[in-house]
Amino acid sequence: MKKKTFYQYATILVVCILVGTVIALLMKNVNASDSESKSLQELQNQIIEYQRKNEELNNRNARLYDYITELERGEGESYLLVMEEREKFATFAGLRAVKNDGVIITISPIGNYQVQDALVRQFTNELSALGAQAISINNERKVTTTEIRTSRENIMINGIAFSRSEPFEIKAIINPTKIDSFVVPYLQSVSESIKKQLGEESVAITVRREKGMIIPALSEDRIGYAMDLLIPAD
Amino acid sequence: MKSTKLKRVLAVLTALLIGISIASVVKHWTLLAMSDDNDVEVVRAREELSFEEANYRSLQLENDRLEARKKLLLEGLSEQGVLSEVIAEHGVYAMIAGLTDVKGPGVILTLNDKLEHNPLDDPIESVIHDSTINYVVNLLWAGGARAISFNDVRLTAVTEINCVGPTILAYGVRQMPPYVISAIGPVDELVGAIQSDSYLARLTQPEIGIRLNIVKEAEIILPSFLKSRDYQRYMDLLESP
Repeated sequence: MKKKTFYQYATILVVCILVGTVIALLMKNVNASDSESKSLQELQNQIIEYQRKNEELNNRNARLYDYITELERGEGESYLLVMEEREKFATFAGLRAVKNDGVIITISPIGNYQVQDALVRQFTNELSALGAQAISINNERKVTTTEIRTSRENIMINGIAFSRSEPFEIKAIINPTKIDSFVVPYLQSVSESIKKQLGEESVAITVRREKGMIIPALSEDRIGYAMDLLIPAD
Repeated sequence: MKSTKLKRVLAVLTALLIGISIASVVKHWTLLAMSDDNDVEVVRAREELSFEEANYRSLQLENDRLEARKKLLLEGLSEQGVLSEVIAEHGVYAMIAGLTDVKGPGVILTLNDKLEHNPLDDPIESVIHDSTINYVVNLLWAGGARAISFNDVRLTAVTEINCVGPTILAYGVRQMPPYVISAIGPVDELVGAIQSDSYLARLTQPEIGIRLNIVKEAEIILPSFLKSRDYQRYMDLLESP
């Protein structure tokens, strides 16, 4: 009888061990395969990133080589190259007026509502993420150093105060092929969600396409031109 | 009688478990085989990554050499009095555009997610988002920053910091925490702008747990935007009026 009981207990023990082993095996496999696939995915992402960087760098080096060859020739063509590049730098920095199709977002406060800086920033960030290449807010060109911050009754942009009780107009030049199909509908959905958050009676937001829109250059008296603390490091 | 019944039940259970065990072992072997394949892919991917990294270093060296040559030629032209005004403006515009390495006094901010962040319990703000980075960058511009880089990517007039899923991208380049924002500018004003901000003060409270570290530096060097991306792809839509 005792022997029988021993066998019964032994069987249960063996069964438990088997169950434990099965569970352990299953868990180990799931964890291991998950982390391995993550690591492979991460590596593949890094490879794609380097391939893209290398392609860009290769193209840039080829252009630089041509540029240098022209400069070394020292003929009239090289002067044109320097002037052309200077203009490209100025345009990229926002120091030249630019033109193309784009969108205009108008934020109009209703009643006593005052426009928040976060709202203006949200739209400018959305436009940047959508690939805008030039942005202005109330005709102030957004440049590298542009701040958008509330100061009591105003929002400061490039050091200029704009009343929070007045409409804010944000213009952006953006890929014309995407404006109707994606940019405007997306910005309208952002506007709707903002209006829901703030309340329909707070703010009116319109988004529209504009053809051949001009975005002004940064005025020369703005802080964007200040370089007093910058020293070339190369 | 009772004992026989128990034995039968046990026998059935044991048989079932043996079956499950066999199935598990087969599955385990299959997974091991897949894991071996995956290992081979990982090794290949690592080799390919090393190749691309070496290629990048070599292209970067070539780029440095060409940029130095270009600078020398432009300086030569300027010294000869040829186009000296245009060349001076060329340098100024490049600096304003963020297309040159620059140095100066500044601050280095390091932002990190909440330690041991638990997505089920912690608030959404316990993880750094693109909006957090854009917020801090705006604070620094408002504090008088003259140049800023985000994880060594120099910011320009078209600051493109956004999220794709959980990943923050700066001009399409994936960024991982900790997020380092370096700013050249009036050091005390920049530190004051960060330390006095109520939103950042809230984020760094223990219940949200964002980690923020501020270091003042007498001199920091910020890389040119050209070290990250080609600027011309960000202005191909811009026409002269």
